[in-house]
Amino acid sequence: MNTLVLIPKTNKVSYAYIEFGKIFFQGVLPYRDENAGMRSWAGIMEYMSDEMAKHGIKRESLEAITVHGVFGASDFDCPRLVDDLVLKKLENLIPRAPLHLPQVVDAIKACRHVFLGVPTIIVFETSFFVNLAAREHKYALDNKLMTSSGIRRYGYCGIYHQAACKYIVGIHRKKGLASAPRIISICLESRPEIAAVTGTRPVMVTSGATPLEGLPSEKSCGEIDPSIAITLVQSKNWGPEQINLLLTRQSGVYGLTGKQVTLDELFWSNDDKYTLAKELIKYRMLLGCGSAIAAMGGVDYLVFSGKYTMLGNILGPWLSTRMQAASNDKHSELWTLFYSRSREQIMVDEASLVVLNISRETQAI
Amino acid sequence: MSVETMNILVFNCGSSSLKYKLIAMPSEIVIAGGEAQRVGPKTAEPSKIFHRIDGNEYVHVVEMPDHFTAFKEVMKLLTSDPRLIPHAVGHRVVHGATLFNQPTCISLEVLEQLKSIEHLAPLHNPPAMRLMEACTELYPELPQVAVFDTAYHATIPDYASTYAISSGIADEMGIRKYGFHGTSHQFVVEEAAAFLKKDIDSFNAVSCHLGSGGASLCAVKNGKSVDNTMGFSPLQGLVMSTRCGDLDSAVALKLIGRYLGDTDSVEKLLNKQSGVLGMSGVSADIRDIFNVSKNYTDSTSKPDLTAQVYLWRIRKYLGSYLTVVENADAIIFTDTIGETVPLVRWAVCTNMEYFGVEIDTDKNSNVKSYPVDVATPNSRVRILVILTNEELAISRRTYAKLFQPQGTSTGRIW
Repeated sequence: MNTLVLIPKTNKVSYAYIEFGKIFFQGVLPYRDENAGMRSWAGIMEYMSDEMAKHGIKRESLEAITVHGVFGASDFDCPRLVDDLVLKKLENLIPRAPLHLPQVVDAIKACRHVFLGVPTIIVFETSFFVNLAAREHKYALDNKLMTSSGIRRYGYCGIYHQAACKYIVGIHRKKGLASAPRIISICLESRPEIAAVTGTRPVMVTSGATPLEGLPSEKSCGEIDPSIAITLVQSKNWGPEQINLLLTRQSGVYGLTGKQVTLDELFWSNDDKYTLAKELIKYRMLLGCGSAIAAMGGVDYLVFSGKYTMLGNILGPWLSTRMQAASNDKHSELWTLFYSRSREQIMVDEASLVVLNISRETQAI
Repeated sequence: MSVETMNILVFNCGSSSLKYKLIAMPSEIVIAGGEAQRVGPKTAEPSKIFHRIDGNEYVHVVEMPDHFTAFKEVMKLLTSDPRLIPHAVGHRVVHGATLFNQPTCISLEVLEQLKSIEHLAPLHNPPAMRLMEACTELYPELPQVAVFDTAYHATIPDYASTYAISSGIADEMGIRKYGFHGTSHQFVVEEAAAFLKKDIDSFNAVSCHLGSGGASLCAVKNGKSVDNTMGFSPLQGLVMSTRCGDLDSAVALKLIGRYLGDTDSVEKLLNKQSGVLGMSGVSADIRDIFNVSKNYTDSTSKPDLTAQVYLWRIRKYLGSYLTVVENADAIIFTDTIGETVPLVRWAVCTNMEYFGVEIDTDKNSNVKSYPVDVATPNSRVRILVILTNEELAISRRTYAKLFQPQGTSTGRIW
């Protein structure tokens, strides 16, 4: 299937044109650039049309557009073909993800306008975790408050986790094993995340109501004592926005080292200045793995995915050794695997299934 | 007074109460004890001291507008009986920040230092300090030792005690994981090592201090704390009676916005109206919640969602800490819930064979005396139920501080 993939972010959009599972062209387009000014979403879609033409692709050959949605709340438990109803639901969710969803909605509207008749499919990071058990997704807050505000744990790298775990299940079956494999899935993106997954059913995830909770990232703090936010307001007289900026953009590796380094650069570096940041992140990952083992009653596979998948070469042996040391059976097998498909490729796989199902339903009618 | 025998008066100061225990050392015999209640401004009922001695309890109704007066009244009761003369005082102090990582003799300089960290525990440290000041003023000859709840956690390594926030702000504001319940954790860990006849210096364990109010887990490696579920404050970690425990900080910020910056209301919500009480809307005591599903050995029974969230959080942290300490010798359960609710021990230790943990359901359900091991004979990790005794722990540390040469271990000394 020939698909245009769009990943809208706050001030830029990543795009890729994928033909039969292979990336034909890709890029990043800033649309809120201080120098270039604002670019409208209609303008962005015209740019995509020109890019396709530049690569010799006719508009008619575009079969689908896949849009990345970080947050779909509990309303979307799978990828969806966007129709008026889906769009309305997304618009209603904007107050709950005001930094992320507006550009997604704008992108979808522009897609439908510029590429009239081409199906648009939205794939969410949170869908994989919609059916987490209540014991995992609930916070110990007043029930009314949680329900009225939609506060619950979601998980924000669901697209990678789901694909990686499907891959592991395939391998597990090939071994002739019928039981559901117990998988610790570690997504190594700028904001890393650990999920415990039995077969393809998630049972635990490190991220929370937002991606701020869980593992520290390149720029965000991860799990901290919630009273720290309160203390900062009281002591510094800062507002929630200022603290949010501190915790989401000026913390994590950047906060610890004072340097803008990626996780990849951090872990491959031998600079002593990075030692604490490295040890801290590894330790938090170990805690996450321990929780995952307790959640599943054991572990069979450790799988790495995300744009820094190959960091698993450093983290995998370190984590495995420690998990084995805690295990009662020091000789039990723990398979470490790498899942290297990109988010764009996985999104197209998911979108293809949606399109396939629709065409099957249409044929059945 | 000889080195061999001394009466240590242990004070555990609450915001409106003063608990005390007079313990003969080193025999560890409790001579007297009690509690001054409703210390502070007048309430609907009068202030009282419940004084216990020789198996009897006497109630003294006396006005106690502050901890200074409460201290004076308690001392009056004790010193009126020649058998009850204290020779030293041990104070429980909740927060020692990074200044105090071991029991410390009280001096004016120490009191000054304590004042500088008062803001870290505004409800707990100030009353304890008032008490130390009163004792210094009225009984200057009485040696006093402060025993800090945070001190045991001073050995938590940097990578576990550091939050991934701007290091400048963290340093400026003293933001780091301190950990709490250290006196209790250290006490039960030492008891467990002694019970299992293991050398404390190579003893690995996860200590579960599960109180009816606060609760925390502590990872222990080679006898030392290497992590604690509580953090910068006691709010972080497990689900507690009225505290939420772990929470996405973005939610805390959202609440601050919703309450228009009124942080007192948010603090109250997260510390006093969340946890078991907030979720259940019925009771702050998890035992009340468990009572709806007493048939806990039947895995098909469905305890209330509050109970599930409460247990699940403990279980996840237990898995984390068993992984961190690697070859664990024991899991230790203590304090009200840990000691008296078999369901909790069963629910968090079941299906943990990966870690070499196997609980004996019958033994666990029929605990008659303490300490007790409720693991199966095959379990690599022992599952111990041990009564905590913070007053005795403070008494031991005070005794050790006063009679051990500087620089030697303040651990179990006999």
